[in-house]
Amino acid sequence: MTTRTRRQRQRETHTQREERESGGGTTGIDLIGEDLLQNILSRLPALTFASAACVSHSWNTLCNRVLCRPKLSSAFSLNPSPKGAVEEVVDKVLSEPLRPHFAIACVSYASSLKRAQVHQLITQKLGSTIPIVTYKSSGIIGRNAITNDFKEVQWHRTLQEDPGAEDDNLSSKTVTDGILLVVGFLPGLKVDAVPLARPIEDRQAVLVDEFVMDIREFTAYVSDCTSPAGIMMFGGLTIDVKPVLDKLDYAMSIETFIVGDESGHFLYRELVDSGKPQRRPRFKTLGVALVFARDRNKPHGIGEIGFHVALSSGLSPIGPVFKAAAVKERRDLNDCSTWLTARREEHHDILDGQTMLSDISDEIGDHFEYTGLYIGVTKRRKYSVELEKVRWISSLAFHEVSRGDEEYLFVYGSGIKTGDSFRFYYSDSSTASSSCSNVSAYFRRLKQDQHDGICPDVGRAAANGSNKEIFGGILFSCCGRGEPFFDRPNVDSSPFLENFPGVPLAGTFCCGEIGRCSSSLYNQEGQEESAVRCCLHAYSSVYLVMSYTPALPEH
Amino acid sequence: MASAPENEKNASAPEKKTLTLKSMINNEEFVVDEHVALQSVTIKNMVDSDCAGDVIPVPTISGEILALVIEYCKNHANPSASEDDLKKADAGIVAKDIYTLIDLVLAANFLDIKGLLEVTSQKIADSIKDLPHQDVREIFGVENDYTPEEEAAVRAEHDWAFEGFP
Repeated sequence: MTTRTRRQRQRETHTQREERESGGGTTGIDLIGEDLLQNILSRLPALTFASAACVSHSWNTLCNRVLCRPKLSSAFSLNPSPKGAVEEVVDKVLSEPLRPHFAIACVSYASSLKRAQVHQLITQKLGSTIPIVTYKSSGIIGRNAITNDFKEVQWHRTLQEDPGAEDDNLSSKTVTDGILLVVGFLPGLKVDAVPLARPIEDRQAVLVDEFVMDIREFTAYVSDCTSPAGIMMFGGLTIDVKPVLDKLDYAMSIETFIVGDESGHFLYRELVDSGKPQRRPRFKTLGVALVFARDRNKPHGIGEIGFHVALSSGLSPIGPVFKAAAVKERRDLNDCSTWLTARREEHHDILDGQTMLSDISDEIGDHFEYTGLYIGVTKRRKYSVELEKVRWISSLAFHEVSRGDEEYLFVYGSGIKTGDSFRFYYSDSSTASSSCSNVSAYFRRLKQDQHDGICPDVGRAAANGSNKEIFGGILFSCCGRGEPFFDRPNVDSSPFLENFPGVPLAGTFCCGEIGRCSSSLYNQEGQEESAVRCCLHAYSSVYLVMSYTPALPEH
Repeated sequence: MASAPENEKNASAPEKKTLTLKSMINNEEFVVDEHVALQSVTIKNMVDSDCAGDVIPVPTISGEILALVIEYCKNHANPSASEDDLKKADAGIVAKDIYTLIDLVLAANFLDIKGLLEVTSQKIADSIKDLPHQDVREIFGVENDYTPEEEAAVRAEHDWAFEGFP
């Protein structure tokens, strides 16, 4: 009621003024002019911007002009109340013109109730028509919704993990609650969430082939090919994603980027009508992939979005190359471990776990017990999807070392076979620092629009134009990195921040970083063939950088 | 770069050069220190190219609006004003109804005063941000040239924003 009277009053004064000014002009787009109106529209928050497009044809045209480039918008909040935090991040992310095409929310909340609440709130705010993944991470990277300060935040580690830490010091720095929200507008791409499932009654029967086929089907539905521009994968706790990634690596074009977080307690919503089959409710979802496919009906005048993946590894090889000799697998309810013995290459003596570990420990020296220890196994396997032709693929897989005794070396995970060659790798912050510098150098070249470097085999899309611009970055960093690892803050973000200041960067700390890269990054000696790929890392940071090359002007 | 403090507003400073701006809508005249008026790129160009006579006529801008423009220019010509002061003063100037703001943004555009254009555009954006598009049409006097089908199609494109709103 009151607004109506106010409006009427305003109208009156306006009319009076018109009479007084005797110009008799009308207020509106003709008078205010396109440039002025466009300037005003570009300052609207996303919701009003959407309604402004509904005003008239000419307003819609101007809105499309304001939002003609892809955009990534992101913010985090450390508000302990899920409702308050969601409000803060949504307000911030939607404070400028934006049409959400997909959203990713990272939460710290341990309780699945709160996670579900966050997921529901965000779905309410962003509408039910876009794919949304909400998952639990070990920390978040981005800008604070209120202060706009950039920060890498790792959630409070429990005292058991940090026995040496002083209580007071710890609690003053402790952050336990928060949300990071990333919303993307990617004109020319279609995004959907594709679940990875298994039948409820059969724990072992993960439907990997179906997952691959679903991704292909969705892609073929919107694109002219079956390999999407990229896949962002989120695994659940009860699945080993390695075999899934290996199959994706086999099945997807080398141009397709694959990044993500191995284990994240996720929730998701997918599009209802996007050409992929809906299976459920007889299935349990084990993982979800956000699939980015190029739209064959890309609107006129929209340029090309390009994706570029870079990896900063934090593992250094140490010791000789071994070959797996006796291999046994042990399966618990959710976990799987492998017991193995090994031989040095060109030696015949079988080595037990203790012998291998004590040699490695001698080489690493004092800080052996503080480092993460892995074996990197080169696996050459046959792959196929459904009835397609079988192909051999080599990959490098990391297995964390659990312990060794006088018989076996115990490592986590499965899929190692007798005859596979492997090396030990240990986590090392100086390797990580120097590989961050390499990433930074790669980004510098990216800025100069050149394309050789860190991961020459990935993300080569759309490198034609000279006015390419970087509009966003997403970072998956190992939870073992961050400030405690480097003794300095923001090391993982710095390659991006230094090269692309002002460009939104959002990231998470994860347990198992997914990034399809050449394994040659791990071999400083560099003689390894680069056809061997590595998709799942440890102590690494995986960067996904998004670029845009505007369409050539029409004439 | 420190310049002598200026005794503002006092017409008693004899050698200070002034300009007279005249609204051609209601013939109101304003005598303004030159350095204040020169924040308008349009006026500066006129002065620089010797096109400005004793009285500079300003078409299409009412005296009421011109007064606001001059107030803005005075504030921003004061070298001792802090950023905070200016922010507050700007907020005061744009605390007007939407129709005045539209006139003001047009004036800022015509006179080419970048800062005023910024704050006024932002204020207009802020004032319409909670209004439904029907009201926005009314304010800007825009005719709805969508057919019902077209409007439904545009709404569908933006349906994420309209969920929960009729």
